[in-house]
Amino acid sequence: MIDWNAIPAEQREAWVLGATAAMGLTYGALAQGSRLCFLRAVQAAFARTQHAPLRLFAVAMAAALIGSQWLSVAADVDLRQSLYAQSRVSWVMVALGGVLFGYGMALANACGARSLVLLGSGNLRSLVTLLCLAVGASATLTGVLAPLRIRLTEATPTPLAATTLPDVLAGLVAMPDAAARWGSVVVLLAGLLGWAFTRRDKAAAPDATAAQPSPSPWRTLLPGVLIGLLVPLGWWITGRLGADDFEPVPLASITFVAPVAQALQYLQLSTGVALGHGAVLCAGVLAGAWASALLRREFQWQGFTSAAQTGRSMAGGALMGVGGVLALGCSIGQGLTGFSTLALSTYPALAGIVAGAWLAGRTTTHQGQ
Amino acid sequence: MHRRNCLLTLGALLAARTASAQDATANTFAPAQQLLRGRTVQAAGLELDVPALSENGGAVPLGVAFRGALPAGETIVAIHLLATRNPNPGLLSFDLPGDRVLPDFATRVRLAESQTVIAVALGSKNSAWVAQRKVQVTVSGCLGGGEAAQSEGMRSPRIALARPAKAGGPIEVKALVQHPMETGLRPGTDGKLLAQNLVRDFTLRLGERPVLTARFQTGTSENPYLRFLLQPAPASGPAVFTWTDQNGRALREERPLPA
Repeated sequence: MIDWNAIPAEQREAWVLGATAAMGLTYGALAQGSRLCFLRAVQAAFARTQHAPLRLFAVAMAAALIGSQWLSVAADVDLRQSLYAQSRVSWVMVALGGVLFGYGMALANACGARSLVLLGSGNLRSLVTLLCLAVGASATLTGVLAPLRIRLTEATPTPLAATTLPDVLAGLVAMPDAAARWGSVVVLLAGLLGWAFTRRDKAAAPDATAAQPSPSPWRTLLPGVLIGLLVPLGWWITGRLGADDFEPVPLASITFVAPVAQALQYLQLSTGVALGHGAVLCAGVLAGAWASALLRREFQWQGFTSAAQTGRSMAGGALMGVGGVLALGCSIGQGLTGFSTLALSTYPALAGIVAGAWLAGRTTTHQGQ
Repeated sequence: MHRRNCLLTLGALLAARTASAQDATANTFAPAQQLLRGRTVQAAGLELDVPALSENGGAVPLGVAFRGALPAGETIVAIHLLATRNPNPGLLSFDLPGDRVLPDFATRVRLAESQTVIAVALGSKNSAWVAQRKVQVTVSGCLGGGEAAQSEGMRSPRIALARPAKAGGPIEVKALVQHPMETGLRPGTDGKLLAQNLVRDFTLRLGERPVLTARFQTGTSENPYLRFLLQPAPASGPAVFTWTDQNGRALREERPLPA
């Protein structure tokens, strides 16, 4: 067993980056193989057919939540230090960002994480989406849209006494921390899994079910569990492996808006910018998806077939970039990682993303990628 | 990084939009000129290391070191770090009584906006050295992280003494104390300014003899951090680290020096 605390301070950063790249590689391979896709999950929920993508994502959420809450106790990683549990956040902007992200995700027909995985399996449309996402996110984080973002966020504050669900519960009813924590987990998961696994098809879809006899649920759901467990791994990497008294690594786990922007920035400015968490995570996911696609013989070059499709991918990417920054995360960043912290900001973000995807489904007729 | 820094950054950013576009330099910045008055400014020797572009104005890594040749009989007795466009010009300063601590420091400072950072080193006689660097600060800081569990006082002091690279060589020392370094310039949730609450200084003694004092100011990042090089003397006694906050409360740590 390696004594993680004995790693010299000057090597810590390299360990963190190496572990993050390995985590990204695993995510890329698992997500490519399992076709994990938040958009498919949401569409399945609305269409009430084909429950597999929804159940896969729900299982990943459950694994991320249980794993992260267990880790925060077992390894003493304070998830309140993460981005998601900020005390003065603007819920209006988080929800609005979610809507923009969700709409963009539906336009581009994949979220940021899925785009990285698709690019790894040869989909060049995703490259365009990702470039637009990176530019949109950078413009909102530090560029021309940043002053507007800050002004709007400051104008619509949501002062919160408690930033996580257990803290809210403990504020309402006196109870031990553990009871509040695990009570929140049980209630959330009972609702989520109960809903995802008891749903029945609205109308029988004989062609779909007849053509594909459903495989064993374990084989389909196991990758979801594994992907979910990468979230606590990410917390452990930055929160424990990267815990240096003097040069602390910011607490973070899997997310794909700021990292895609950082990866693009690193490509352009690497002589003056330190290699960071985001760039290695993206590189890892890309490599993992590429390897998995090759092994599964699913790698195939694909491009745009029409100008309209190109436009949708570009607009969708830009909206996801802007919206993902405002919502503090993407479908994965808030859907798995934010959700795993029990932070309150996750709920308006996720509601916004689902609403945006729904809105896009109502207002656009094209579904072609 | 943390909220307080964002707001400081933001407030100053908005103010800067109306301020003059011309940035001061060491030749025109009054606080620097005040330090240099009556002194002979020497050519190269002082090196200032700050990133040209910083995404988090709340904690900009800064290194300052004297690597030139000293005039005969002169030593560096103080280094001052200034910022031209912060609400207060002072970032932090070091006093070096004696020659046990080498003039080679790393720390983290707050830069409210893009501006020039100036380092002034003062010699024991009449010399002075100046170094300056422009730093561009972007405004992303506010998305950096959650709110730390803040406490009023200083807590969790951390000290690391590295073994010298070569026998008899200087020891690298790192020292950090957890503290919010509340500037008194930042509004709280109720819109009122939060009371100023700073760690005033950090001192290092070898036995009874003071060898370093670092004075922290509003431009010093929260959880003030220092890295410096200590040249141990034979039988100098243990190293005694003391942090003192603006209310006079002190936190004291003692460590034996590695052989």
